Amino acid sequence: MGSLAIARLAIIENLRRKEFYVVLVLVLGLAVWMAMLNMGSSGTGRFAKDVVMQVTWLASFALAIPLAVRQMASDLEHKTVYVLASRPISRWHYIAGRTLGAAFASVACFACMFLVLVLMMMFKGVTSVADPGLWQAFVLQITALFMVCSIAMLFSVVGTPGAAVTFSLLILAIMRYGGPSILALIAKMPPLARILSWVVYLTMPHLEFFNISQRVVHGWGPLPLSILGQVIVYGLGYSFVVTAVAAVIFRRRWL
Amino acid sequence: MDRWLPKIVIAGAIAILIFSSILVPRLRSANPQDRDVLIQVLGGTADFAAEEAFHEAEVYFHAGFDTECPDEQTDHHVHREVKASESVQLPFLKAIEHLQGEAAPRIHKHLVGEEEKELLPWFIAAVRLNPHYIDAWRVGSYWFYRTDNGHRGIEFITDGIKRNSGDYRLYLDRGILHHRIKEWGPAIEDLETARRLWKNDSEDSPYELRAIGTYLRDCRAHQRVGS
Amino acid sequence: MRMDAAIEVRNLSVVYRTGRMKKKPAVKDLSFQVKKGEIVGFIGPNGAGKTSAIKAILDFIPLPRGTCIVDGISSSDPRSRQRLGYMPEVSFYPKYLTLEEFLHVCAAVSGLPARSRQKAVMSAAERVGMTEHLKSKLSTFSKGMLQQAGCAQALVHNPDILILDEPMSGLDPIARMRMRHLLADLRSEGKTILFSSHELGEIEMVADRILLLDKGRLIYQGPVAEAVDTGGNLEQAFLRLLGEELPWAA
Repeated sequence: MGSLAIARLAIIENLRRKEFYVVLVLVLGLAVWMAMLNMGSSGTGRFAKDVVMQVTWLASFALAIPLAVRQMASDLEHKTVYVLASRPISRWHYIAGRTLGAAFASVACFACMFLVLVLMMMFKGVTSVADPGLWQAFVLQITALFMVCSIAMLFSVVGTPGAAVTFSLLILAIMRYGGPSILALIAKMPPLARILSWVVYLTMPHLEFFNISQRVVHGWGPLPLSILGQVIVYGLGYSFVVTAVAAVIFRRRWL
Repeated sequence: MDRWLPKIVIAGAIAILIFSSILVPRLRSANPQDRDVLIQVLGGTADFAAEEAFHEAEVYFHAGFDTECPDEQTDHHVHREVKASESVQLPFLKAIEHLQGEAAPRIHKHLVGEEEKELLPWFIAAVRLNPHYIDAWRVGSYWFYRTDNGHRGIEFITDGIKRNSGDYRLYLDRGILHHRIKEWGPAIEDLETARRLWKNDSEDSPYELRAIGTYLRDCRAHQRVGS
Repeated sequence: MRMDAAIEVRNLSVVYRTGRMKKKPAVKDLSFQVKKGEIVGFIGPNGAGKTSAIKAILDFIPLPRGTCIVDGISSSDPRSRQRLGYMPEVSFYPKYLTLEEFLHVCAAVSGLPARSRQKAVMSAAERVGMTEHLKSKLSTFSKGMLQQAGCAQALVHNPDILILDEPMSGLDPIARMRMRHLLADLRSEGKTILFSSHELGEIEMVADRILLLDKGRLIYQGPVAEAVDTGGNLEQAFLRLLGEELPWAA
């Protein structure tokens, strides 16, 4: 109950800040522009879908990472952590609550932007609300947001806010967009470097699993349910483990 | 006023965004040599973005399958399915590859028919980001011709010629398009201009000079017999 | 631990690392008890170690040397804070929340069931005289109002033990009088209060006992009356006990 109350605190705080509304308005503006886009006889359906989808996905990450990092940084800087830490909750509950709050707030922001995306695509006639692939992409992105928030929280526990945001963005960029290429690069390394690299590669968050935007844009159909289930379990499990590691580190921290 | 000011600013930004999509093309056509102000501000990033947009057109043609395979042993010009890397033997790594393959399309296919029009916005984006991106003008004009009609392709590459009037390759391709739609006179004009501007500056240059000659002979022959 | 001790500290030492090989002891071998139902004033000059000791009791400093027992439970166990309320010295609270929302969150985190939270929130706000500000955002509060909000959050779950760090700081005279009355009411309810303050006059009026710290060590503990027994007031007793003589001291 303590964690959920702290999560609720984080949600209210973050939804009352202005950043989300600014980003939402920008995504809305982009969606309106794309919906009106007319390049003569050229088809713009996939193009509009792709651009708005990528911007929405990126914007949701761009909101989630600073949001998650800010939870801890703000609490420690302003000593508001004392009010919570003096209650009968463990450090694990505190970290879990803050991470959940950041994740839920990010998901709420993403859901609003996703709604804009769906409306734009329906206006363009390039998708149907009943498209299962679209909703799978939505669910997977939510899971990815949970992972990203837990990673950002871990970095904020061990480092400064700036470093936490930087490293979180770096990992996001490398794994989400370069994940498949890294395996091939590792295969070319000498044996010892290859083994070490595989170990690091396995511990990194495989955010590329959660990016099925190309499937949705190009109409490849939904993922098999077994794959969807495996990926979601992986995402939530990874988030749990990372949050637990953050809690263990935070346990030893002097407030 | 303090409460309303941010909202006014945001509404203004949206209005600028919407109207720029209408106004900017009109302004640009008045000064074809100039890049959009926004693109000038982006600088070298715009060139990089143009290359990515061009690459995206190829990805779109293959329905989302990125043909630049990570395995350099595979020739991406050859239509071949990506196979799992032979060096990846461990089960958990195979599982990772399998999941990666499920997330992103890996079966090679092409867009067909009306779907091919989906490539065109990327060519438009590429040349808008970098008006001197010759390959984008050339390949884009072909696809405009193929998906719409020859005149649309000619219109597209003419825009490119306005911005790159010294490049023989654009005259060559426009000449070829005129040839395809049997406009012999304009084709000859463009091909002769291409020959006059031709420079031996790349591996393809001698072949392109030969192509200019071949098309010229063909156009003249058709013109003589009046067909 | 003695059964009538609400807080028991034994051989507590807190050492801060100030550099790679440098350490600064903040608390040295501190031992004291706070009996149930009494008000104890925690006093000392700046840097004496009062806040460090309080942090150790609240487990803000994990695993210090020595032991801290709160309500019969080791301070490292979160359950030791079940019946404890803490008012921090620095009154920073989540500025995007209203007072009511903030107190609700505090009540929820303290484990109060949902059905009793609203009543608890109203009661806490009423006790500190902040009922009319419940719907206001904390960002609009003055320093004194934030102090009162801090007191409200410490009381919202009706704790038996209260640790107040500089509760009078920033309060106007009326609010100080209200706070003194509140402390007296809490004592009459059988609450145990440990409060640290530089306002020796307030401590003299309210506290049953004082604990005087200097350079991390307990210099004096005993009833307030005993400390001022030789005449004068607590401030003079404070200076005398610390061995300080100032030219303007009477």
